[in-house]
Formats: sequence, C-alpha cells, structure tokens
Amino acid sequence: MQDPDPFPTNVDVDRERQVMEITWEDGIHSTYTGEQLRWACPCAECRGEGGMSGRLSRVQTLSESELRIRDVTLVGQYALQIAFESGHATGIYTFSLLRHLMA
Amino acid sequence: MAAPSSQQVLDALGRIKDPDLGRDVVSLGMIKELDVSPQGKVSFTFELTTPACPVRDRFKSQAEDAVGEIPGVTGVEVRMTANVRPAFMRPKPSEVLPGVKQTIAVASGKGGVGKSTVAVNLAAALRKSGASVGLLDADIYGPSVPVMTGSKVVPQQANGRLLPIEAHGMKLMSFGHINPGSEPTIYRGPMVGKAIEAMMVQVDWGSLDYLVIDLPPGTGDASLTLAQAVPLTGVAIVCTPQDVATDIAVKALQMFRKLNVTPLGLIENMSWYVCPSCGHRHEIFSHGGAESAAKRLGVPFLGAIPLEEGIREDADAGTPVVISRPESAGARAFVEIASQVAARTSIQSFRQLPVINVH
Repeated sequence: MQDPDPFPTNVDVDRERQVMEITWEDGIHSTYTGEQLRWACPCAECRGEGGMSGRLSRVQTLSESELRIRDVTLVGQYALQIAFESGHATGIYTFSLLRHLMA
Repeated sequence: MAAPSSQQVLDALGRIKDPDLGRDVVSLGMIKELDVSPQGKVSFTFELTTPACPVRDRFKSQAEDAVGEIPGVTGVEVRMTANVRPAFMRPKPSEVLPGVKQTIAVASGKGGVGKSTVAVNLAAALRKSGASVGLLDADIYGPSVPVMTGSKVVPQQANGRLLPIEAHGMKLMSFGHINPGSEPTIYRGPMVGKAIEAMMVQVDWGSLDYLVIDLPPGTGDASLTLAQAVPLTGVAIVCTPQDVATDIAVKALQMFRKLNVTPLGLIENMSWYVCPSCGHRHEIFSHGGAESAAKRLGVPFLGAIPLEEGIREDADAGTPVVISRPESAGARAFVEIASQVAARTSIQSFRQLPVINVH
C-alpha cells in the first residue's frame, strides 16, 4: 500500500445542475451526478452490515429528493460527507472511493 | 569591482536545494529581506519552515559560500529565522484548533512501548528549538502527561473555556488534569470521542506552532475521532524493536493511511541498553525491527531511543529528559527525532486541502 491517495484540490457542487466536479492534485477532473453518488452511498444503512442486506439492494427506485445533493463537507482529510435533500447524510465518501467511482 | 545585482545573489542561492522539500530555497520563499550595498555587502534573512530544522547549520554555510563566491561580494550576513507554516494551505481558518499550525499525533499499535514518554520529550525538544508547543494527552483511560510533566493541577477557566496548564514552557491538557486523583475514567467509546473533541474545542490553545497529541494505543475510538475532527498534519508511530511490537505498529500505520493521515514515520524506542556496571551495549528487545519495518512500508525511519534509567526517572519526577539531562544519549536521540518530525511536517505545509464550493 502506497502513501495516501491523491487529494482533491477543488470540489465544485452545482446544485442547480446536480453535478459535483472534483479536480485532483494530479490534474485529473472527474464529474459525478447526484443520482450516481446516491446509489454509491457507502453508509451501513445503504450497504448493509453484519450479514443484513442494505437498503440500496432492496429498493428499485429512489425519490427525487433522495437523489438531489444539498451539501458537501470535508471529513478529516480523507473523505467528503454528502448530504441529500431527503436528509440522508450518513455516507462518508473517501477520496479513494470517489477516485474509483469515476469511469 | 561593481557590487553584484540582487538577481545574481538569488541565482546563486537558487542552487541550494531543500533536501526534504526537493525544491530550491528561493522558489520556496525562504530568502527574505535581501539587501546588496553599493560596497558589495550582501545581507538577507533565511526563513526556515521550522526552528528544529535538521539542516539549519548546513543551510547557513551553504548560503554563505554560494554568495561569497560571486565576484564583487565583500561580505555576507545571513540571518537565520524560522516561521512554522500551517499544515496545508487552508482555504479558511480551521474551526477546530484555529490558532494551531501543525498537529502531530503520536500513536502506537501496542501499549507500553513508551508512546507518552516519546510524545512528552518530542514536545519538549520542539519547545527547546524555539517553537511554541502544546501537548494534548488524548489517552482518556491512562493519562500520563500530568505525572511526566509534573503538572498535577486542575485547569482554570476563563470565558467558559479551559485554560491549558503551563509547564516547561509548553501548554498542556490531559484528562488527568480534568479528572485528577485515582478515580478511573469509565467511558464507553462514543464518550471517549466526545471527551477528545472537548479537549480540542473547549480548551483555549491560543496560537501554537505545534500541537503534539499523545494518543492511546491501538486503532480505536480516540484515533478515529481525531482523524475525523482535525486535519492532522501526520502521525508518528512508536514501537519497540521486537516482532510482536513492530507487527502491530504496522497495523496502526495502515489504519492512519486508510484515513489519509500522512505517516511521518516510525520511532524505535527501548532500542538498546548500556549496562552501567560493565558498559556493554545490550539489545534486549532485538535490533533494527522498526527500521526494517519502515523500509518495508516505505515510510521514513525517524530514529532510535535507548532504554535509559534517566529517561524513566525524570519522567516519574516530572521533567522530560531533554530538559533535565540534555547531554544524555536519550535526550540527544529525542532532539534528533524532533527535528526529523519537524522536517516531515514542513513537507505537508506545501500540500493543499480541497476547496469546497457548493452553489
């Protein structure tokens, strides 16, 4: 395992277009939609834990307010916390996860 | 002969490279207040990123030599100063610990490897180099800092905030100050997190170059809380040379890596013991374990500290050994390690935290 993953240098969240753009310190840009981020939520409720299946594997669709990003904050120096308009905000998206999410 | 131009002087100084930051000292902004007199006398300020800079003396003589060789120079005056830069170019002042420039965590995998002793002496060595230093004892269950610094007093309050305790020129705060006596702290995990947050937010740390944080052993609540609540500059991991300690130190280090906290390196404690009666050097816990683990993991090895009775005696008596016996082998090892740690943290001050813009 090498030293920490690349840092984002800039995180731009456009709530109107529902797009989050990240510029990484190695110059790479990545773009995420609210919908994509919501379905990738890594929290225990969404993913499941201890053998229980998570909510995201049980539901087929999510409502509009569940998919809309409300706010993004920094956690320590390893992750972003993304809050959605439905109030769901338990997902801690590590930089490493965000790096792997980009296609 | 005509006096040289300022540009000539900067060109000459631009050939000096900072070994840790890997760039020349001019582009790093370390050369300030440059003045060249018509008679060819050159004077400038050389601003280091830490007063504990391991190459301070080398920089000074390199600068004198580089400038002295320029034709037309009749004299060189180098003023060495230091200005600790905040870790990360922060988009805005941090809400937790706003006046603290660098936060250095001292952690270990196993208990009993001398982590608190290292933290106390590391802080004292940074203080001795001229930096302003705080020491936060985040070991809620086994706070050792009050005894080791001879500061078993209850903190005062002002404006609803706790004032840190001053001892040996450092600002200190420990749960042992808040909950003195022999009553144990019986807390479940979430309360440990709250207690640590309170020691950061509710304590008036003021402005500090370095805040050294003594963590409890292991990879539990305290370490997690800290990594989530503050952008830590980095973490130094303490271990003893034997396999059982280095193996677990590696786990601790990997945990911090997962949290993107930069490993500053490994410190080997209780490296050797010099028998006072025969003068023979014994390696009780084996030899070189931390150094080879550091190599394996690709992190710096920060140094080794001998097992000395004086270190233990002075810790129990409340004065860190770097202050009470500065000439001892132990104290010299701590000072050397402190400057390595300071150098590693300086590198972080050239990294940037993300700017988040929600609109």
